[in-house]
Amino acid sequence: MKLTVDWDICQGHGRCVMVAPEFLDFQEGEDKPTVIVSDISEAQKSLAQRACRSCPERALLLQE
Amino acid sequence: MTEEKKCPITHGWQPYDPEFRKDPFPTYKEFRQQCPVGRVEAHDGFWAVSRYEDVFEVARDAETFCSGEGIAIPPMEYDGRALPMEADAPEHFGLRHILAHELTPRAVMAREEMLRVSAQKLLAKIAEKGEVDISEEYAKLLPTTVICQLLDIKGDEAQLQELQEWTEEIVYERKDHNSARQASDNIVAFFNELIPERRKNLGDDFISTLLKADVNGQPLSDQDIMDFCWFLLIAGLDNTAFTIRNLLLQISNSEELRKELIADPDKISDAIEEVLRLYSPVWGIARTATKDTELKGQQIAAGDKVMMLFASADRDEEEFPEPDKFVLGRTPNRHMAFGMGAHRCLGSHLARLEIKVAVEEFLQLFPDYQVIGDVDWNNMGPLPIALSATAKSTETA
Repeated sequence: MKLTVDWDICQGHGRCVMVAPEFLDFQEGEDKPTVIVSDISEAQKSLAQRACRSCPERALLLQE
Repeated sequence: MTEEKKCPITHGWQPYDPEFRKDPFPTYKEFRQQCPVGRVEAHDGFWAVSRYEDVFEVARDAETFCSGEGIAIPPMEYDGRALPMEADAPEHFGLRHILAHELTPRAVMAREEMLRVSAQKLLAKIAEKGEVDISEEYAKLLPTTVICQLLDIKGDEAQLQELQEWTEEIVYERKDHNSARQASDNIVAFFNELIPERRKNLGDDFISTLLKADVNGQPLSDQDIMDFCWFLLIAGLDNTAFTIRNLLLQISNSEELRKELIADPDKISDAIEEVLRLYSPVWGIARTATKDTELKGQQIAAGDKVMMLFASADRDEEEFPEPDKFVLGRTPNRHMAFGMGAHRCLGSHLARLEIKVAVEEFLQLFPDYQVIGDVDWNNMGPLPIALSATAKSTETA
């Protein structure tokens, strides 16, 4: 599974980083988070889903 | 021209009228429906923008709507600037990033233990009492304790309370200019004493970070450092306190919500988002038009003040179905309680974590607390509670 961000929609709220710092982080000087781990295993799936649900803009997506 | 601008609904609006402040939401609804961009006569005139889509647009267009001319109407009782908020590009970017790395989600999560210990200490004191005003003794004191730790301000509880009272005077009690000015002067005097001391003993606190900062090869001026400190205190205390208070009140009002949050504390984060949306602590922030422009058919002239009503936008029925209802897990929940765009609240991650820790720790110790009597929503007033159902029944017996 792939964790991806639609950058046109993302507003940089950062809630996903609070939920799943394992997968997302803010880089120095950036106002939007970066996906640091995009390949999501079955074991990581539920955390990744929670991160996606936390996104107020629905910009974070987990795709099969 | 004046004729054209006049809107009967917004024209006579007095944003600080205590009666209006008690329940501003029906008025905001009228604004949205009848005058979404309406001229207000008070405070030398400004535009009130009340719909979600328009507030979003203004917030995102920092070129047309600047912050450097002041973000409060009327201006706050302070002669400096609220930094980094009242700076515009390109200066703003450099100033914002001095503290940005201290306030990223990761940096904030590293402080979770400190937040928890701070909350637990306050709760240990509270636990000795049966009945307590948790607005004063918890909701306000926790953010004050936390900001003082971040700025390395040492003081006993009375001193911290004094700092908190000063900020409340400036932010919430805007009807009395003299006391707000006095409170603001007190904060300046406080930092005037603290900053030179800190310069001699640099540490890893936020003030030291400001003192060590380098923006394009230049250190910050003394005034800039004061402006940052002044605003860190204003921004870091009352909005967080206000939301902790509101959430504890919300939980006490709904047994269903209480049960859900106790059974699954992960849902506290959702409850926080919803309470931020319903009672957005920063109800409005102003911008100044840098050029003639148009918004919802209204002609806005260069130099006009524009007030983004976040508290109204966050209850816009076009964006949020059943906007006045508390919906746990509402999704999407694109509220703008932390603003939007280049100036979005730098401390939002810290605020969210503080509120989460505050409510988690509180519910764990006092799962069946009850609010006593009728209390006001949407303000910083007292929140008297009985810590346990037993304590309350003894009280009422």
